[in-house]
Amino acid sequence: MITSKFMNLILILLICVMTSQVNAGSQQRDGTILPIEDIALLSKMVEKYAADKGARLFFIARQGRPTEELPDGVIYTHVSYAVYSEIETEDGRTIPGYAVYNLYQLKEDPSRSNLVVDFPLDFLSGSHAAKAGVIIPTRDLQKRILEVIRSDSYKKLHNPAYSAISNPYNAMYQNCTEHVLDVLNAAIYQTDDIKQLKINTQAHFDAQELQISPFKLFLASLFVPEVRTSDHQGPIKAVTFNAIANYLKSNGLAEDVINVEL
Amino acid sequence: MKLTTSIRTIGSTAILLGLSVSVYAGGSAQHFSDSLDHSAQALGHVTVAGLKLVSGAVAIPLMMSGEIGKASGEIGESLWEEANAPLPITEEVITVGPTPADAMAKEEQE
Repeated sequence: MITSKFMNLILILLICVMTSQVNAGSQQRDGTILPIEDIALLSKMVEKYAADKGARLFFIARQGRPTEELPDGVIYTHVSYAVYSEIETEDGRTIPGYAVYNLYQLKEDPSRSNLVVDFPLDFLSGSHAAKAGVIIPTRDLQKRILEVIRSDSYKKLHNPAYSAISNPYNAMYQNCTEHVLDVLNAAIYQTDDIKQLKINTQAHFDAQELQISPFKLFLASLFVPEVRTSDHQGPIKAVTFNAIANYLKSNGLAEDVINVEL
Repeated sequence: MKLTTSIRTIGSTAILLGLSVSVYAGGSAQHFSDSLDHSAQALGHVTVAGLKLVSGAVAIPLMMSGEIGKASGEIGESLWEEANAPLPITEEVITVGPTPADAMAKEEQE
């Protein structure tokens, strides 16, 4: 009886502590973490920066978790493609802007994902910091990636089995950054053969090792549906914004890499 | 029995609230349907930080010249090479429309 009460007390304390950690430093308004005014200004800054550079396509990244909760060396948690488009508005006008091609987790089942097109404001509404990562690929690579996005290969390269820490060297699970990498490599190597793409990834792409406590990882893999470790052997390595930037820079395929901050 | 249940509850709570967020999880969550007042948007234009908010219905990639009104594929590839100039960009902030469920709920309210 006493033990049960003691455990319940711990439970309450745990909830309080954990909840305060989750909400630390964040300001919630209309469902966004940051004020919606900041998100609107930031999204327009990003669009204008890319447009000034003449980018038809660029990589866009957001920080979807508080800084203190990110593994060492990880800056952004969600990466997608932004594509210069003509956008038809609900009131019937056509205006120029960027559309964002995302892989998102399903709300009803976070261990699964789907492909969604939205806009920079929507993309950045999940940000915990008023900044965005931008990589503008070379002109030729932009064109090749666009061709993949506009083809059936884009959907073919999507694996809906989601893991937040998916191993990019095999096709067992996939997260947003791995899908971005698979599309990128499909553009570079002009194939959507996933086996060949994974072989090339193993040979040429340096995934970022994530410094995560083995104990936390073990527990998370038991209780959190979107955290799976069965696709890894040894250290946990994943695709990150930095890893993509390094990959492109080391191969002479990046025109610009920048953090746009409000 | 109660003890086991409590331990399980504590474990689950700790994982869900604390551990998951520290292992890079959740970065791909979709936020748009939660983040903006789409029903307010549907009633008319909304201004945020001096920027007009509009709903985008369809987006067609402009691969080449950036000329509005000419969808990709209708423009010659030769234009690609000369297209290094800054691109025109709207001053409006575009967002997706409401979810089908929200749109239906709004219509029922009206």
